[in-house]
Amino acid sequence: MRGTLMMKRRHSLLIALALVMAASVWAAPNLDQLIAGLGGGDEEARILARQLLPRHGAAAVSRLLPLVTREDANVWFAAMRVLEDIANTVSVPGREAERIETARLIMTLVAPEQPDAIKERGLRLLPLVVSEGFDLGPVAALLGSNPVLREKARAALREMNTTEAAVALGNALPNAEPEFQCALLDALGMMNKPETLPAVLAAIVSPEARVRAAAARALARTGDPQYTAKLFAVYENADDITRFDAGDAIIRLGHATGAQGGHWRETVSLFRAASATFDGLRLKGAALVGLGTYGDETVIPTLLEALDGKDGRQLEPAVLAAFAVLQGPGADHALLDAFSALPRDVQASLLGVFGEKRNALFLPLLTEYAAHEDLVLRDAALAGLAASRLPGAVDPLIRFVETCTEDERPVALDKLRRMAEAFRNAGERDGAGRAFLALYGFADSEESKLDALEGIKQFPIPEAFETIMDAVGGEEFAQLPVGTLAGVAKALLDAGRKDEADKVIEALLPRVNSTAGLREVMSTLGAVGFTPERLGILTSWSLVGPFPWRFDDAFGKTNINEPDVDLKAAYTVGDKTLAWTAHETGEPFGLVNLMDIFGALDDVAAYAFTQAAVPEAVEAVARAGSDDGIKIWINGEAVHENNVDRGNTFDEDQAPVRLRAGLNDILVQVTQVRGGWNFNLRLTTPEGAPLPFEKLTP
Amino acid sequence: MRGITALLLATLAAAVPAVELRFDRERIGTGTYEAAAAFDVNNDGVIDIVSGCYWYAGPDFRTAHTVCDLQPVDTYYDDFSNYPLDVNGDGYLDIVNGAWWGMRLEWRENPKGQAGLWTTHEVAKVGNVERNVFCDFDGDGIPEVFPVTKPVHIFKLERDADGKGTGKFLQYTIDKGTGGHGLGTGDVNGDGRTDIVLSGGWLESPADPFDVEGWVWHAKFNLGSASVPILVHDVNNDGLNDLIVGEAHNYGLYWMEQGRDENGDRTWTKHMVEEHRSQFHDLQLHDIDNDGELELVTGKRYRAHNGHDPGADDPVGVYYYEINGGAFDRVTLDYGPADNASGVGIYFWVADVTGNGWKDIIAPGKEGLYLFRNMGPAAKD
Repeated sequence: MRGTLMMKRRHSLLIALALVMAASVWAAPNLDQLIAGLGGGDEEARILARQLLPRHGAAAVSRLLPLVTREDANVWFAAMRVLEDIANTVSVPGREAERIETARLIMTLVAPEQPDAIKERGLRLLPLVVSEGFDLGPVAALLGSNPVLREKARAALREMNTTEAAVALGNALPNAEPEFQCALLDALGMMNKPETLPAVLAAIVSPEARVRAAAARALARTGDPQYTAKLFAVYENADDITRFDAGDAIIRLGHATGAQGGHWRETVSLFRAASATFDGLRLKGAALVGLGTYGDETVIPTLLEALDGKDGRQLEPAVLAAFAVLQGPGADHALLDAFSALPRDVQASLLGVFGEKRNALFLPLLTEYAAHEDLVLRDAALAGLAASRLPGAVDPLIRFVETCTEDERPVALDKLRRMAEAFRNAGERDGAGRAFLALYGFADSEESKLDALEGIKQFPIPEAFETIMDAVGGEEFAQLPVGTLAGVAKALLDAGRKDEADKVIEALLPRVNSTAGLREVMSTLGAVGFTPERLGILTSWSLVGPFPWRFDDAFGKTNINEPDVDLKAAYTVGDKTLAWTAHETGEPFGLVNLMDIFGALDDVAAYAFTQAAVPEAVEAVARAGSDDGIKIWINGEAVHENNVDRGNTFDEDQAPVRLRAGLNDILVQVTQVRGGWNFNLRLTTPEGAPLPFEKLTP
Repeated sequence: MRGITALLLATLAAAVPAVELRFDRERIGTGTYEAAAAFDVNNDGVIDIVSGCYWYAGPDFRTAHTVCDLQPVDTYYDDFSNYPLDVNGDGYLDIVNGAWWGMRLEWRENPKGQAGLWTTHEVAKVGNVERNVFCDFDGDGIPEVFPVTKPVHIFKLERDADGKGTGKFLQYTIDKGTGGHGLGTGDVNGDGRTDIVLSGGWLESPADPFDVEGWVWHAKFNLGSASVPILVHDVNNDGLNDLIVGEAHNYGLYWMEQGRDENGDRTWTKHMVEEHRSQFHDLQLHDIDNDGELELVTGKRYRAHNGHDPGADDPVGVYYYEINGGAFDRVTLDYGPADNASGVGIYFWVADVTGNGWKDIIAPGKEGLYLFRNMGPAAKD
């Protein structure tokens, strides 16, 4: 395999060399050639020019502009794309001079003598490259031209968004016809420059209602509450067509003011006045939502008055939306105080709002109404509880599931399930654990039971113990995943309930019959003092090494007079004397890291010895992982060997063994080619469950 | 439902202030220190703003000059009051600060308005200083400094024969009272002397306030985790000074009415002003609307205990209250989430920094330093 790789590398080198040589022979076309290519009839030359011309930057602009004026769409279109690339390239910081020069050159496209089509092309390019301080006289002049071109000019100036662009738009305002005045004001509003405020303020007293409304919208973007009265005046004097726009401007001003902060009183006063002034339901509703968005408890009377008024029914969604976004505990308390006097349908909606607020303040009310005889209120409260994501909401929902009718049960269970999922997503351990535990109890199918168990496993709580123990020994117990049991055991240990935790652990150990299960148990319980020995892992060893070893030796060479073991013996290797030393591994999977102990060595071997006592003779399996090869002797008999160069995979090698009653000698030889050097070993029943043994420290 | 609406209108509706003022808010710098003051740092005749590591040159406050380096501790800085006082008598106002982690009273020496770091001098090790209170105890025109500690210490600036500060403070320690969170000064018993109010009671001043043995402790109330300062003010105009107290680390703002029982003994009756707003750490009395009456100016100290106080995540706000004999009608200047609204930190400042005759509010805090420019009565166009 190594030879093939070498050949491939030689090939790559030759190809690269050939490319370098070719590049040195081929000369890139110059600017003249590229301009000729872009403007010529050779499609391939145009494609190449389109690709390479942007590299010439501002230097190419004056050569490209004549191509923009050509009638052949293939030419001017390609030239425009190149100019766009150049405009973008020179607009980065540090290239201001090129940017200004490029803008100056492109500006010639909008000169008076140019045809309209060319001017439009110029207007498309200029916003890409015009910067603050650039004179825009030629573009400003277009604002007085025909409707198509002036609109293009307006849009371009809006896009430029410089002070000069805004001033140009503002200057055009007085002499424009009303329709275009509205468009200009729209642009000025979006640009929101202080320099053009006088022009906008002049427009707000225009004899044309639509212009006044457009000016009001432009002023709204300032977020300056000093314009509130002016905007209300526009609304009061609006005609039927523009009244909504004028009202919308007031709403926009309120939001802009509120979002800026620092003008709380003015913001709330604006929305309060708007809700009282507006006739249309949509505007009135928007004003009420604004009150909720920025207000505190003092706006609640206004909101309740709206519900109480002649349009209360239609405004209810807006008022509820306002209640939902009201901030602060003062507002929450006030809403709670107001609740009992509200109409039933509002109460029902408000119960949902209370749930969404996720505030324990509302829990007693939601709990009370979850048992209400009025089904509408009860359902609303249950939905509110489910939405609340409060751990205290679980019990009322469980009570409802327990007491509801058969018809109601699926819906009730669905609510509980949704709540459990919400808790799961929010990482709320207690609520999730209790909800899933309840769902386990209510489960009426294998699928729903396993779903609930998955939740219990993820969020185990001590209360799950009784449920788990009820299942121990029964048919259901066989269904319980090992990870769930480990999670419950950990929750019990966390809660200080050690005896109960031990019961769960004792019950789960025979079930740990796979590497995956063992990993799950150790990852859950390893952090709370659970020792690997309980999973059959051998952790106390006597070690000796390193002995010279070659891969080809396999296990044919004797170093310590194996399989006999004399822990007091010493062995001479070169000028060193090797002796047995005790080692206790603290690794969760019993890993004995020989590289840490003996050093980073190549072509060596070491031996490990331990003893395990079992009360009576038993068939077992020795399961080992090793890096690299391993040989195992039990009571002097070789039971397994694997001469291999590999990394450690837990439990990878398995060998059936018979252990005698009492002490059993276990000897392991672990070989090392290079790199990592380690092993682990454990004993299991033939079925894979951990084998209980008495640990004997050498 | 009309009944409840009417009731709520009566109890909740926003008060209409006697004078509707317009305030324009502006963020100053990018600092999140909790103390600020406004004074002329470089004697150029223009008021500047100081907060934490920087001072901002007036009148636009756009240029920041470094004062010192402050070690951040979580979301705090060891900077809990920025009082201007010419400590060394050089004609330039210095800054007196209390250090919680430094456990000391200290002052920062103004480098005569020039560029460069201000030298910080330790006055005394007095333990953790939550904040200082400043009060002209002896009526000499120079305020004494009270770090909020137990025991109570009064630090009086030592002055030379010309009346100029010497850079030193005389320390008087009154080892009486309960200590605790909160400290205020004022004439509690109407004898013309300035008493000291602590969380668990008040210290009655002797004729000579520097006679530390002469102070008498009255353990007459428990104000809990009270504001700094606790204000002593005749709220209901009955001739008896009352207490205005903020819950510095909990919900609540209230006043303690001073009265007399049938035996003529002093009584204290609690009246709630705010039940559902929290962390009123700093309270001040100023005539904000120029009507000749003092208003209570305060707001939330955002994350007063680093997010562990009740109401920590509630909206922040800046308010003034028209006292109106105990009605405490709230006028809200700012209210909302801390990424959009301002609180007042642990040591805010009120002064006419714009020179328009209306007092402005400089509100520092972990949500930023804001200047609320008081523009006077709102236009009614």
